Amino acid sequence: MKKNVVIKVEHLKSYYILDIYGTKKYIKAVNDVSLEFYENEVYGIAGESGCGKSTLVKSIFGLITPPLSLMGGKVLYNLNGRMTNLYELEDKECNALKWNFISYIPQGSMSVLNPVLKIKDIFKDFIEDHIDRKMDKHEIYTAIENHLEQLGLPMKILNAYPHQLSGGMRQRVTIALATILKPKVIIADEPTTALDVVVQRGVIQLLREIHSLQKNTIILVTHDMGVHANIADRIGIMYAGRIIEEGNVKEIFENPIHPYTKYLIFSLPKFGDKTRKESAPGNPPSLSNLPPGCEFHPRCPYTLDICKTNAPFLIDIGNDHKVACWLVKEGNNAKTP
Amino acid sequence: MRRGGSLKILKDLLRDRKFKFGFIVLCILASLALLSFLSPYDPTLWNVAPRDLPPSLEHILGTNSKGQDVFWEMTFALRNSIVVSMFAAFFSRIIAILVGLIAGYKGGITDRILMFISDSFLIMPLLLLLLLIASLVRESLSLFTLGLILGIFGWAWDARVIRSQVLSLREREFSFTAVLSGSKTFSIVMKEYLPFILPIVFSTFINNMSWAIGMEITLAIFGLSNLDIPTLGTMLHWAIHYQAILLGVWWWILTPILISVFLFVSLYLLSVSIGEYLDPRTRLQRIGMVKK
Amino acid sequence: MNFLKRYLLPRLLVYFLVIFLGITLIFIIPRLMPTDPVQEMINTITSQGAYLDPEAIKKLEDTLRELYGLKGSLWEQYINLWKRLFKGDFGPSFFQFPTPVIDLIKQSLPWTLGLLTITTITSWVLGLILGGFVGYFYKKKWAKLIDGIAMVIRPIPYYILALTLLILFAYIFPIFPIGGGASIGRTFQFNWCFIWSVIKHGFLPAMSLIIIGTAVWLQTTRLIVQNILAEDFVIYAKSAGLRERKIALRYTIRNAMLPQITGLTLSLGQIFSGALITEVVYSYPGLGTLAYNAINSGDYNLLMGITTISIIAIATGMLVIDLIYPFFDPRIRYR
Repeated sequence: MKKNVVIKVEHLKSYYILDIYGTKKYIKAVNDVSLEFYENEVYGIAGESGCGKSTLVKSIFGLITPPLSLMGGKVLYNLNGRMTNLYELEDKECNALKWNFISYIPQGSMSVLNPVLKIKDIFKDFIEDHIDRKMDKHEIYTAIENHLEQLGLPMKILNAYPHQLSGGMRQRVTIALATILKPKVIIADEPTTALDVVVQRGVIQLLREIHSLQKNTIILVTHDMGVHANIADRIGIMYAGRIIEEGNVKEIFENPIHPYTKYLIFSLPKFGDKTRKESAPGNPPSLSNLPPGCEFHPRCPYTLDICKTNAPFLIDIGNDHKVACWLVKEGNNAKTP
Repeated sequence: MRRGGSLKILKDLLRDRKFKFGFIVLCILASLALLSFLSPYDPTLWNVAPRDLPPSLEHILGTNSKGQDVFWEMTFALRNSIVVSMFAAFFSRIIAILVGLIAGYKGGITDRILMFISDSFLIMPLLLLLLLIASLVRESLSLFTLGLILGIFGWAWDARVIRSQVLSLREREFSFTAVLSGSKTFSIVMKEYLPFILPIVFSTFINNMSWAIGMEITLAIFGLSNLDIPTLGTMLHWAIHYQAILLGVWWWILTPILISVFLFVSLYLLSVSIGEYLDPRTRLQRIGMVKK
Repeated sequence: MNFLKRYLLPRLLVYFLVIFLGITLIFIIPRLMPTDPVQEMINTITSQGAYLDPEAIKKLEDTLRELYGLKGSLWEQYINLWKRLFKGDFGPSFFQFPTPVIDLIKQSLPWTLGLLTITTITSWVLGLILGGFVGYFYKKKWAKLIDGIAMVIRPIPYYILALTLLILFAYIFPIFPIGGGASIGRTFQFNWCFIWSVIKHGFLPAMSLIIIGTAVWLQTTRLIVQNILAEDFVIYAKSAGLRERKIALRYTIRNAMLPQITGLTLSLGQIFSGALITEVVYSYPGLGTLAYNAINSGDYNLLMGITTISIIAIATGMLVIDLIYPFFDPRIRYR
């Protein structure tokens, strides 16, 4: 069953360029990433802190501001059947896409609401600037109320100011804000971090609710594998600026292939499991000083000679499962030691 | 290493256009002030030259209604104004540092009281209080006493700035180490904090000099300083008193105005650029930012 | 009610304390000075050649001491000061004997207040909006240009600009009158002639205050806006593609207003002083010129009165602004 591609990323490279007293430093946060996102799915991006996940989704959304620089590659949006490169569009066209086609829920959502405006006015601002026709104030407020009701959020928050709401409520408001115009793609960057478990659950429920109501694509970034297990359909594992494994959620959790993914999955505690847990030895590399060849090879227990010189690329091993590792040959159900 | 360090800082600062301009202008003004030591005229004497002569080769900036050469008067005025303001800024730094350090370090009631006093000084129309004082000690106002009085009133703003710096330093690790190792409060404060505070003190020093010159000129226009000593303020006062504008002796009034403007602008540019240099956030901006 | 208690009462308390402190200072300072105003007065009188027998001098001294409020012990003088203050009695002026000081002040105060309120509000609003846009669009050429101009104007003291404007527009190009508040001889009427005269005379003083005031508020607002631009909600609004003008106004300037209102309270003292000296340059009939004359004629009572009224005026202004602040900051209005 071939699904429609809604966003396609081709060989994307985004680096942070720092100029410290004359010497240039390149932080390779997104280092040749190619991905496809389908309609009506939840795609999780997992990986340690600092591996480039946030930068990847920012680049997909179009948030490239200095010192971040687009070094190469394309981000193609499916607009009315045509795949258009986001970075070839005019500013005005870009802005028109935001919130209509794609919206973004940033990390630390709790402070993205303007402290001097009421919640309903913040919604009004975002709506007004993204629709073509002029809407009457009451029309707008009614639309907002309906949206909140659909999502199960209380009406009285509309007349409140951001500081009067709790952190969790603010997070949910931000999610509602991002989905008011029913965009096709929603990017959520660490939506559950810095929240207590009960509120986390509320947030995930909300995302689920939206996904089932609006049938859109959610790109969810988090280092919390539990959240991925809960809500994602497919996962991409990111390491040092590259996607090293990708596949359906169940497949990845039951059959991780890449050594790093194995460490990731096997380090998660399970009920009744009393064995010692291991995490990958060593530390992730500095993104400005990457090791040659495969970025994981200094920490990998199965390093081959080729790993030290050539970076592996994603190979399809069947079952919609892709891995980037020299230990794997193309074909079905390959396994690594 | 220290000496190399300060030269490097100077070079860095000179990269900023604002600092370059302010620095050059200030150097020019300083050399004009130093010229005063070569003056052929005694600034306190009147009628040493024919009155009200327009600028000529002999008197570069003309003469005034008191019979003095405007150019040489100006060099003295510049020198004295700068000296007074340096006195004032120096005294007020001492008070500001003491108040800021004690308030920031001790906290609690001491802090509240000190800040209340400091705020009251900020709020009150200092000009009026200065007028009050100056009108009572008019005659015996030497440059030194004027500097002293201005210093006593000019510390309030910077005390607060220093205090907030101390507050942030207090929370840092080396403070705890010092306290735990048993050093006495005073030595902690002096040895550990002073190096961090000095840069800010330096920037506020320049600001305060500007303020002091302004106050000095204001007092002089009101006729309240020792009018025999030439300063930028007294020059203005006499020019106004003798109706220089009305009588067309424009060079007499224009000189102190222009010199003051240059002085204030250069001091301001210096203090702004030093302030920006020290601010960690703009520092980061200078490091980052390479566009495609 | 809770809000009233938490916000209002502390400020009222500070208000009265500051006035109290100020007036006490005014009381203490002259008494710390080495000169004795009464003796000065007597010296001036006797040095003018008139002969007065010791009895008369003694009587003169007594009267002078009473008028100056210097009779009795320090504590008695202090109590007396407060007693008279509550009655609004500052004693008679010497410069215009026997007119009570309070009358002179009543005449001059409206001029100063009028000039001050108009110029302060105008320059604050102008500076806020200009500074907000300059700070938001900081990369554009016009923003850099305006900022540069403001940077050069700001350090110029009020009186220097006042003098320059006076020279330019009253002497060289005699468009405006040289000084005064309204044409000489006119009394206070509500007709167009008088009002036009007031505007003409007040234009230059107002201009010098507004020009520098706007430059100051522009620069400070720009700095604040620089910080606000790094705030999450601004970055988010930008990333969401909201219109720039809307972000500049509702998200940036609206938030920059808050610290600037506080800044206004803190700078009232300075602004007041600036207005006074500007008045002197233009002989504008406000408290400034009054103080100038008081100093020149050694009118000690008048000077004390002006200083006291000034402190009360500034403190009251601060209180008023403090009371307005909650209307702009919802974080204070609702807990």
